[in-house]
Amino acid sequence: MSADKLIDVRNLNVTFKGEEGPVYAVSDVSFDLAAGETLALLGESGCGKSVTMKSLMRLHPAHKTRIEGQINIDGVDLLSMRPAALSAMRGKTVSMVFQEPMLAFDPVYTVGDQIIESVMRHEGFSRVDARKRALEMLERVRIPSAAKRLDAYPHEMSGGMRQRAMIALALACKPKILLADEPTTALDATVQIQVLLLLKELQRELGMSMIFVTHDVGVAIEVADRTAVMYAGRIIEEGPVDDVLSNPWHPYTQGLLGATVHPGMDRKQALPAIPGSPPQLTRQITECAFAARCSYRTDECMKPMPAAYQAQTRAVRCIHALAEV
Amino acid sequence: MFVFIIRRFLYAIPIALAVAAVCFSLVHLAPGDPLTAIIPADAPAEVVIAIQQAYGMDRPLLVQFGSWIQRALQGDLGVSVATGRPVMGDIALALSNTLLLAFAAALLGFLGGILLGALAAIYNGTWIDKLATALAITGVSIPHYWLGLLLVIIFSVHLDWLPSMGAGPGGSSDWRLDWAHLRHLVLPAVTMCFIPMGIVTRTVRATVSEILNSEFVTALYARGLRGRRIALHVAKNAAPTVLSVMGLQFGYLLGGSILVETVFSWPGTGYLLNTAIFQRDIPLLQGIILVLAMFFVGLNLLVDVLQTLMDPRIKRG
Ligand SMILES: Nc1ncnc2c1ncn2[C@@H]1O[C@H](COP(=O)(O)OP(=O)(O)OP(=O)(O)O)[C@@H](O)[C@H]1O
Ligand SMILES: [Mg+2]
Repeated sequence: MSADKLIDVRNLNVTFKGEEGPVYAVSDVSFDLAAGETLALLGESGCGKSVTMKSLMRLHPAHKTRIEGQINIDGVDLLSMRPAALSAMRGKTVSMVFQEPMLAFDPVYTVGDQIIESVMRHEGFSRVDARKRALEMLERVRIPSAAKRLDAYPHEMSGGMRQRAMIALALACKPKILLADEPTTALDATVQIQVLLLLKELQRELGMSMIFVTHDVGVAIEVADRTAVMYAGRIIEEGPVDDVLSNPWHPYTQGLLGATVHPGMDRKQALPAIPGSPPQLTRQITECAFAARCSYRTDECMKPMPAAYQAQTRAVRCIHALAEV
Repeated sequence: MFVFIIRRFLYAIPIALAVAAVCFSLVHLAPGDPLTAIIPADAPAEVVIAIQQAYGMDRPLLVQFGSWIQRALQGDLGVSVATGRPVMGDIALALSNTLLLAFAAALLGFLGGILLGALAAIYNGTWIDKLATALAITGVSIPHYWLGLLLVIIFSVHLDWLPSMGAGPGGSSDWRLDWAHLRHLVLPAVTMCFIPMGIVTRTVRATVSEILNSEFVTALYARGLRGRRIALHVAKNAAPTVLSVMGLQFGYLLGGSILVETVFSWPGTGYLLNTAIFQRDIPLLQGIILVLAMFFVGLNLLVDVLQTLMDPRIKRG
């Protein structure tokens, strides 16, 4: 493990002990994140992006979840951390922006009080100073008449403003790492772009690293340096975002790009969707999880998968892509 | 906010009037002349008429209702047919005893219910949850007069630890805060606390476990909060729902203690109501029902206002 990585995840498995048997939500996931870097975690709904993000803060209920593997955050082994150290790290070293800001705010506390609470917790500020910081943060995310908004309840704000407030809350203690879980998915298209640009700007100013979860290839290109593509709980391809998305190696990534409108594409051409649907995660999948939907499938694909193939800055998990490279 | 409270208060007035009308007419709808209890069967006609005039029962019903309301507003609920004493005095005394019993039972029931419900929600699915839920169901299902008798047999008859009758030593009905009086409160209060405890347990369990599973609690953990701070957030979210259920339960405790008060000869409104019914004491009966109904209306008003004060999402309009 290299020490210069802010996040280093090795062979992460997350299994939920469900009532109808286990759910293998994340399998053998490895990735890392350097200081100042942005990684886009790309994949369709249900592929395990949020589960992976929550694992990075150990937010899954302990008695219903099994987490295996290695997670290092800022040089500390996350999985062996004591509760006190863990909670001191949450919101301070690593912070999270949630997918649905309406659901992630406590509805009966004002937005200001929630930011103040967080600042007092981590910075040891007095209430007065914490309020100043909260106001400063709301101004920083460009919420109009911020002083008034400090005393507003979450439901009194528009969706875009609420997500800005969520960002203000997440950044209030100046974290080293920001985990942004589809922060713009619930917003209107125009608001999406504003929030995206704001996030990029704040990241630069604060010198943060960021993992940006999205299912939108266009957004990934916009914000990220590198990308990791997830499918059925695994990372199937990884590398610099421009390389991976201009020349995808994995058949799934190729399909994902085919299903996205991108510049230079013939408008009249029908969007080729990938036939079929992702597999159930109630079984431990050892073969290639994409095989059932893959047009390159051979008998080899149904045998246990070899480790990811690494080529300089890129990695891919497909025996056919391996032959191609 | 002030406007909101005033408006809620104004809304309560027609409800109160309607309730008063219902309890006035209920008595007159019941078969039998209300005065038969005190008029000897062989009394001459002039005497009957004289008595009817004395109680104002010869006038049209609507007029009777009007003057009854008017006097009730001034705190005069008439004179008891059985004792000749002003009804209001008897009711006030009984009410203070019932309130005392209701407060004691509510305190036990609500504290127990919140504790059991919170434990059940936190340890959802474990044996603690199952035990708490079983206790809640038992509490709600056991008939409380039966439970009262059982407690009397165990703690009064066999163990002789606690008295089973009255509100104080020697059947005194004025209450003081000392052990001699408190002892009398224990058994009836314990008997009555089981139903509110069961219902509050269920409510708290459902509300709290729903809150604990919501995304915002995960988000609170993600901010580095834990323990007491999280509990504070959960409590503030659960409070409006739990409070409204507790308000309703308190109302039931006030009105629904006839059986328990009879079992323990507790000199409260239920006991008085029982007496009034058996003696066909109409003014007393009307008075008690009216006062209890007004308590219910007032309690609902209070819960409404508190709920609105606590939950910013409820529109104040
Ligand atoms: N607590 C849980 N118990 C059981 N299964 C779970 C739990 N949380 C998530 N899952 C399952 O894990 C899989 C991955 O879920 P996850 O929320 O990570 O998807 P996602 O990639 O974030 O999708 P989306 O884009 O819709 O947010 C899903 O199949 C989901 O049903
Ligand atoms: Mg998600």
